[in-house]
Amino acid sequence: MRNLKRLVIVFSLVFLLVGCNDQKIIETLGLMSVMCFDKATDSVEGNMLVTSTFPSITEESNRKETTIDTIAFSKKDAERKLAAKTEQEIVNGQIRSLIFSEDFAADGINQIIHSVERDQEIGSQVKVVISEGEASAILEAIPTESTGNYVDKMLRKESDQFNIPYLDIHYFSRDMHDDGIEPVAPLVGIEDGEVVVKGAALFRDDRYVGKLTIQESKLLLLMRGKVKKSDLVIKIPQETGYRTLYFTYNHSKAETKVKKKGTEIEQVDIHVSMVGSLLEDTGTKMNGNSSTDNNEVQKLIDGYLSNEAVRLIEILKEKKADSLGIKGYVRNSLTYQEWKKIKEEDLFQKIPINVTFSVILQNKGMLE
Amino acid sequence: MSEKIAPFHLAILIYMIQSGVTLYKLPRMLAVNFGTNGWIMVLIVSFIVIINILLISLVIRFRIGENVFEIMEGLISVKVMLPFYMLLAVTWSLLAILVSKDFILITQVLSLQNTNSSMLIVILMVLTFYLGMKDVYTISKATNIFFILTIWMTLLMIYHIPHTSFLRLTPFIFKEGKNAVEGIIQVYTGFLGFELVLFLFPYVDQSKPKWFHSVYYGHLITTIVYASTCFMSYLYFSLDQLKITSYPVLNLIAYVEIELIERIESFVFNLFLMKILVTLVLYIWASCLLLERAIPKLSRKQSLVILIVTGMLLSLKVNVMADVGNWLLIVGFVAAGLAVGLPIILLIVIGIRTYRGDHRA
Amino acid sequence: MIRRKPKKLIKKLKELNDQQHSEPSLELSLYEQVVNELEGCSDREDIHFPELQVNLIYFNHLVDKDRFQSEILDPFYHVTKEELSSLLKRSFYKPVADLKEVIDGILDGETAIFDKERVFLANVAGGEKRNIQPSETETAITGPHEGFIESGETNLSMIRRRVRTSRLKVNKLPVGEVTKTNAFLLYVKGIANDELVTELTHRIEKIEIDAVYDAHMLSQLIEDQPHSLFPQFITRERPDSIAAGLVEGKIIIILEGSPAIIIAPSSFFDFFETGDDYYQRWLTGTATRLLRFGAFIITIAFTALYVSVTTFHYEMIPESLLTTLAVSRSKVPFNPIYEAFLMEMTIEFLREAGARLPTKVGQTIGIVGGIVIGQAAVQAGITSNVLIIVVAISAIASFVVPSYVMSASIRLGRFGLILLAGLLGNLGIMIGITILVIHLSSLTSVGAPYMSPLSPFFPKDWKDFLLRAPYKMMKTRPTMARSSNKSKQRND
Repeated sequence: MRNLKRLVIVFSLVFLLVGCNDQKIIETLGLMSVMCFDKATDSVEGNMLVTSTFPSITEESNRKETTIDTIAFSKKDAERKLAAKTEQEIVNGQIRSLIFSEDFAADGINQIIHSVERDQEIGSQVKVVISEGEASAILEAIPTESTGNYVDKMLRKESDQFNIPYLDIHYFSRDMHDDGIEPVAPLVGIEDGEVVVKGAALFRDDRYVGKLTIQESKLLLLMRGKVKKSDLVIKIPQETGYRTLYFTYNHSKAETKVKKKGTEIEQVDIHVSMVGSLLEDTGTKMNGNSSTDNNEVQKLIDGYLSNEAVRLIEILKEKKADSLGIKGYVRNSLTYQEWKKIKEEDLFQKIPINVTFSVILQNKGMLE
Repeated sequence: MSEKIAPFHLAILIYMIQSGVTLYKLPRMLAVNFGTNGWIMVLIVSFIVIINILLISLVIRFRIGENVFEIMEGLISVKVMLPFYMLLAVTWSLLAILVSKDFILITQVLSLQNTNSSMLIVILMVLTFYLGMKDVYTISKATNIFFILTIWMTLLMIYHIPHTSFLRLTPFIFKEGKNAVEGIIQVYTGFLGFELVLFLFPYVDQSKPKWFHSVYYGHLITTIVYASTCFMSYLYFSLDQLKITSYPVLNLIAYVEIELIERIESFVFNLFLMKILVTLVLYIWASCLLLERAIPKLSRKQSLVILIVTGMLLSLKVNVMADVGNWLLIVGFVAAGLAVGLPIILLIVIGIRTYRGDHRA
Repeated sequence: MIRRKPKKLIKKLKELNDQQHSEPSLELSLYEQVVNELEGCSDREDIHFPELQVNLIYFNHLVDKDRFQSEILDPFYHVTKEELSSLLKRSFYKPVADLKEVIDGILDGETAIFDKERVFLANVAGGEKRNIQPSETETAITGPHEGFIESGETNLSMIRRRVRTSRLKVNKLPVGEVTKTNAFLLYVKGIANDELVTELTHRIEKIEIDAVYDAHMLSQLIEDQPHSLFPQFITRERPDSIAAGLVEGKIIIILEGSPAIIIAPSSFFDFFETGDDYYQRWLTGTATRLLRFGAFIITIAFTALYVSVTTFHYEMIPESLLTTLAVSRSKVPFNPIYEAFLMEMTIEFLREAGARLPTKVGQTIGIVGGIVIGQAAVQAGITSNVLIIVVAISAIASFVVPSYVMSASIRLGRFGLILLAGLLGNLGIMIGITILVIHLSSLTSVGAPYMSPLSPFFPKDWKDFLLRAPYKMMKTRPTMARSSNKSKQRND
């Protein structure tokens, strides 16, 4: 038991010497919640305009958001320069989202992604967002006090409803490094001074190459895999105006099959099956005995989706963005040698992709 | 107090000695050295380890004498064995110190960057000393609780299931790998620790005839934990991403976010302190046995201090991550050689002695 | 420490004691020797019966006055000189010859009867004692309410009434060189492990100390590791718990003058059990137990976690809490660790003050502490209100632990953890927990592992550990009692 005494002595000696250098006491920190990257004209100071916001607490214990920006060469360079502009110690462990402007992302964001992944203080669930127009404008347009959190929550809500793809820094980095798929990021923009989710941003490796509308990005998600719940507003042109259907589906599955002839790849089939309910149909007639026909509606939706899918694949092929991960399926159907041979070719553009849908109406709400 | 370690606890002890900070790097090591589907290698190496354990079980079954020392000294006198004992003791304590340095350096990647790393190592050594002073039965009792406090981490993997995809696994096996031999050695060193059963068995309750099975069970737990973690990493990361991620398992844990606490990795990683401590203490404990056999005058306290200080002095200059990695590779290789070599030598000794007509204990 | 240092002193005292006894001048009669011995004890009563030539010596306040009147005084008033010798032949009058025995008897409350050269002791011991009341430190909601009192015999009787078997054995062992307090060691023969009985008897006999006043004190004198932070024997104040302990094969130690009764061996987890667990439905009993273990974790680590997170690991705070925490900390001039120490100390002051004060004043303390300090400290910006909540929760959680002794130990351990957290953050907390685990698992209670059934792992004992399994499943006695008769229910 004399050990215990010695132990106490040794420990107290050691502890006198350690620890305090690393203290990061919460109220002394400027906790960045978001970082925006815009392109800046090359100068001696840097090539990117980085804007960030962090809360500061006023004398009356009120929280207020401070926004500062700087021109820098890299993310860490920017952090250092931002820190010089405030009395708080700038830290990045609470960053929730990174917003890139279209111009900036078009040049590739590999450097930033790696910097974030290398930084041990930043978590893996940081959202990556592309903004139409200037990224810093998004910050100004956000109404609440906690900017980063607002973007985070908005994106989470939208991706939970399968309107836009979910994307955080880990997903981005993973798909960027995968030779079978390309990342897809959410796209936000400003309409009438309000921040709006616009759709999806397509990438080829780390370069932004094009965008999809919300409707298109929903379709993309349908074709990529399981969708737990989402909805579609389907407009079908008629003799006079449109017939509008509102279809909500709660289970959809996508099956991707690679058809081969010998070692040659013939075609990739994507089959999407979805089950859901019809909650609106402007084609309903006034007289009672002509209820909405299940088969007719299913066919209508099917046809609409098939058309849209063809259009979407054209867009993807044009942008050379394999956001569906077709290459991955092809890879997994080949031997390693075969794959190595065709890996570098423009596989995605060459392979014909056929999308089929099977739509099942489970119910039609409270009306027949 | 002469309570014996129950077989069940032996299994836990073996698992806790085996698994350590290697787990954090294992998926990357596999990805770099074996490429696609490297996780299968864990199972293959685990099988090789089982053969190694089989050798040890033969030694224990056919032993002449109470412990390893009695087996050896029946043929070769203590004086001849003395330098060998000392060398073995130093190797193992050096291995232990290197493992602890590795742990501290990874800790400092996460937090406490500005603290002097040697201070942290001293703290760890004090803990080692504290636990090392207890008898092996108490060590086993403490290990038990450490096991319960750490094993649940494996369950965190459930969180990652929605983020995985079999697509990323690819049908290719061991393609795009760099250096398979080095890889196998690295994975093998990740399994090291089972060889200590050679020194542990006199303290184990051998009333049940199948007590040795628990060594296999312990190794099985390690294999399951290693293989499932690596498998999960291959599903969660893309291959090229895995290759550039220093500590994939740390990223895995970091991805878990719950309402109450975010970024639990800074907490969970520190739990590994307990696993490391068990590895550390048992290697040093075995070294102590060796040293005390060589110099019987030493008390446990003295031999502990001597070994810890020797290990620290030998690795005084090794303070950078890359250096520690290289040293670990070399010392790990030596230790792996010992794990294979020791039982073979012992079996030869037993063979000669049986031939001479010595009686089995 | 008590055992080691004052040995010399005790020896001297012993010699002194022996001297007093062994130095009777030969000429004096036993009666005169006793009178000499009790010289200066003005509370001594001396009664003469000149016609019988009988003297009585006793302490008035140690005897039961009614019985003394009817069983001693009355016979002696009515007896004639001739009848006296036949009266004294009754077994009620115990002949003694030794001075020491006489003195001890008188001090025990017996009456010494001096008939010429012969001496008898008559036991009419009694005197004032507390009535049986519900225990204050171990209250029960369901289950029996009576609690032990300070009289060893009453306590014994309460246990005997509950465990009505001839196999319940009682060893009487005096402790304390000066006080000669009686300790009773109880066990059920055939269930309890005989080695444990011998070991404990030996340990009690070995005690060399002036005085033992309370069971908690005695338990510290016979513990395996007296320097540990944690108590290694649990004490209970309710006879039903003690009866349960006896039946489980444990050994019970009653100390005269103490309402707390020791159960040996005990494990760490025994301190989290109450009688209520067994009387409630098994699901509710289990839930309550889990709640207590949760409270244990919170009380030992919650404040430390606060300190660690606010000092080192800001990235662990979820966004929703971030603002609240930063705002509440913004006006505080101290480091989180000082802040935490300040508040923890305040709570300890409050608790200690509340424990010592009479109930009526105690309420004032509550108001002053709760409202004035709590509110004002936050408003003045000395502490953050989040910390107040954290500290309050850990304080409440600490009182969920049923054993006061254990709860005090845990609270002390908490300070160490807070210090470590303030120095090294999460790593510090982990180091603290590691030390705690190593220490706890190295403890033993009369040789039985303190952390059982968690470590060593006794799966059979888990039915009465985190769980309170249905009675149908509780078929075996706990392993740590090392009972020779393992089964406590018929196996159907």
